[in-house]
Amino acid sequence: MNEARAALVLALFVGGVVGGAVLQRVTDAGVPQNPYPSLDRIDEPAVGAQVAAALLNSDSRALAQLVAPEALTALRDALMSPMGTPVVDVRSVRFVGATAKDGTTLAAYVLTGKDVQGTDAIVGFVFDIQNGEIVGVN
Amino acid sequence: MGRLVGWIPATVRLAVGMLFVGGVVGFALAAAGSTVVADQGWFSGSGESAQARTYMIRLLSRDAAGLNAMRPEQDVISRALSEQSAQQSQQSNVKALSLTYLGGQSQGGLSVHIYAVEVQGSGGRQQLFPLALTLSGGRVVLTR
Repeated sequence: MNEARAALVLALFVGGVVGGAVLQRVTDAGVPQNPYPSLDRIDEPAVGAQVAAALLNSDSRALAQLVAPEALTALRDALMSPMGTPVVDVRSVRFVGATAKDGTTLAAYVLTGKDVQGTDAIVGFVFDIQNGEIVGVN
Repeated sequence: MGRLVGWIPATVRLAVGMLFVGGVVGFALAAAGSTVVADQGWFSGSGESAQARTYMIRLLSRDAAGLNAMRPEQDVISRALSEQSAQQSQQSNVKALSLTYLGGQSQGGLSVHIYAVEVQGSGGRQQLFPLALTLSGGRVVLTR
């Protein structure tokens, strides 16, 4: 009888735990609704893919040919870790999304690697593309 | 207390008590677990972060107090500067037209989420610009 009672208590407790967890997931608000309209997403621009490949392959010559000097300087400034140190060992460059309006295309990338101190870094940057050319980097 | 519940059979009291205690424990564990998972970026892939969306909405609505609450602890001067910036922004006629989530990625305790924001200035000129947020522990540590 004691064993049955103990089993009942345990079963009720576990059932309560499961119920509480389910209740929390059901009541969790999640991502708040966007009160603003969103622009349509587009495919990765070709020039963005080429520059991303050049970054991944450490191809400075390709970068020099693909990106204007001002934008290249902005790209260098953008590739700083959250700690403010430059990322020198690029492990991955991933296109995450793009949108366009009135002739301006914004192509977003996330770069992971290590900074000069060997610390893991993750950086997000965006190419401003007009007429098939990168005119700015954020 | 004995008179309030004394009429309830012991078995029922035990069952209700265990369900209640288990429910509280389960709720707390699920809440804590979801917070840790979100902060660490586990299973998030490239999904939009609730904190990132909230930050962007507060930024576009010029909610300085709300923004400060989502940033790492700052000194009082920095918070005051943020309030001044928000007040100046409120006095301008810049209107947000759209907010588009482009994508993001997580690594370790850091996550990056990138947005495209379209605004209209007082002269009617529209401008599209990006904003990259870096989050750590549910707080925005870097904005580019």
